[in-house]
Amino acid sequence: MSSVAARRLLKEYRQLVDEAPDGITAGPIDEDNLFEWECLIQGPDDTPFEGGVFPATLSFPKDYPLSPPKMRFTCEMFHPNIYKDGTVCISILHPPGDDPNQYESASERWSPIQSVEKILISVMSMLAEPNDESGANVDASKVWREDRGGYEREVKRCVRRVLGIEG
Amino acid sequence: MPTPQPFVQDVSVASPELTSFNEAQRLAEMEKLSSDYTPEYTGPLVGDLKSSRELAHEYVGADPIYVTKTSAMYPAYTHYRKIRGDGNCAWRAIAFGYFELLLRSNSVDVVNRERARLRSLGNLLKAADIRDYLYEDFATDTDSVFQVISTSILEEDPNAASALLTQFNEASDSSVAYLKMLTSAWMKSRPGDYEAYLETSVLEYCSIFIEPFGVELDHVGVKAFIDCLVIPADFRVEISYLDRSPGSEMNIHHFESGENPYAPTLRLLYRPGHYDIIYKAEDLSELVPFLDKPQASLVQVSFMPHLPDQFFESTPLNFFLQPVNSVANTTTTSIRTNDDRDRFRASLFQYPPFQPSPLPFQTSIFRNSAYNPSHYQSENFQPELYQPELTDVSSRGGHGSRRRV
Repeated sequence: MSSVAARRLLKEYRQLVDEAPDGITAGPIDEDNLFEWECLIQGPDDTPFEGGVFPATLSFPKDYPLSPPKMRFTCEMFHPNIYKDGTVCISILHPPGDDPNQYESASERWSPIQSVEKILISVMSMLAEPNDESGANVDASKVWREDRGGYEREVKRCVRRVLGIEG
Repeated sequence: MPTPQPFVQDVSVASPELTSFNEAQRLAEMEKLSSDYTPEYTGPLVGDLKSSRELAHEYVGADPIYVTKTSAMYPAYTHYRKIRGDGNCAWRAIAFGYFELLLRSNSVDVVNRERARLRSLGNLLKAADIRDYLYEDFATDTDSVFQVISTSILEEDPNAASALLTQFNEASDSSVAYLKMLTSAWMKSRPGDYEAYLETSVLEYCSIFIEPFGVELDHVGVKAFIDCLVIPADFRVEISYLDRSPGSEMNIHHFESGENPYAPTLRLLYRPGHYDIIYKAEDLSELVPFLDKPQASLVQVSFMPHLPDQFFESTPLNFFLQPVNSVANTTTTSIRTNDDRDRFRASLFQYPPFQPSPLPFQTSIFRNSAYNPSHYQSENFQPELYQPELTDVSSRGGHGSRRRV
């Protein structure tokens, strides 16, 4: 099975190099191991994340693309759908078989026809529009809901830190 | 001794709001843990052929309804095949059963026809705007199963059945993934057929229940998958429900096109949440001589208890009124003979008059090649198959027994 996964990852990598989507870069950290990727996501414009470039890792399971990868931001993030350790909680990354009803019906789910590109685009739009239903970071959820100004200040602090402006 | 849970102590000092806050965080983290958990599965994806008496043993101490139903299974269903219960069992059972029927057809033409049909279904994926690099590996692995089947048939491999099992178990995940994509595309291309049975739109249903790997298939999904894969191959499906509903025998649900009541049948055993494949003696019988070992035990002296149910379902009258035509029709459909019907000859000695079967290919290239058994260079040279009048098939249009080519 892992050869299927490796073949597929190589194809996806080539595809991302050939037709890089706006604001996204991704690829294996080490060419000998196709199962660990690093990616950079640009903060979407007109959001508090604007201007930041956020590094994250993608870890692919041996049975990729039957199961989704895990994604973790390696910088500090303040967002309702990102755990404090950086792990991203978004419907497209949930392993199949999870109770689907706990998510918004229209949300995208993982299946083998999804791709790294789709994930990163979904994460980008998640940065712009947090999903209120899944509270991975409860503090961030609460602040986002009750004090939008405070939320934006926290996010902008993260942006400055990731750019190295603030230590 | 486990240490007392910290949040219990917090209650006295923290504000109620903060407590519910911690609680929510704790729940969220537990949820994350549980979503990361994957159970261990054992056993092959698709198991070996076993006697169905083993199934009855499984249920010896169970609810009396199960005991009655499983022990009533034996003479009718002689064998079963266990499928791993990992959420893909319906997909694997139906896919494997389909490939097995293709092998049992013992006809490379049937296999090639299906192979070509699945390839052309692949165009639905293109039409749905799915990039080909996302599915081409799955398609190739699925194709490898067809390849093994046609090679086995061509070489009359005595181990064909186990070769298919090995290849399918190897390519099973990929095949299932590919067939899921095809079924999803199939449903989306004819939403009207399924919408009425769904609470959501077909689009959403597919993204939740069909496309993701490892999600159990519900009844609508099973129907769609069978519609897409099995029925167009001119096979039937029978699902026997082993559940606690009253009665001494299992309820059977049929899926068929209705066009060919004698179509080979894929039989599934459904126990709530799980599918296995089951077989009647005739499914494994001498039809294809080089297949499978359990033949010896399958000699049926009396056929009365095994009256095929399909016999009662459709057109026995036609059969008796036009014995020659309908018998000729079966032999022409494929090389496999369906001995069920032959048991109902009006007289044991009334064999249908010899009717050479129209060959599957009637192009002049084929007729003049060594692949044509009526050609003197053919390995299986059969001079009686020589049919000069077939050179102009179209002018004979309207003659029922000749049209199925």
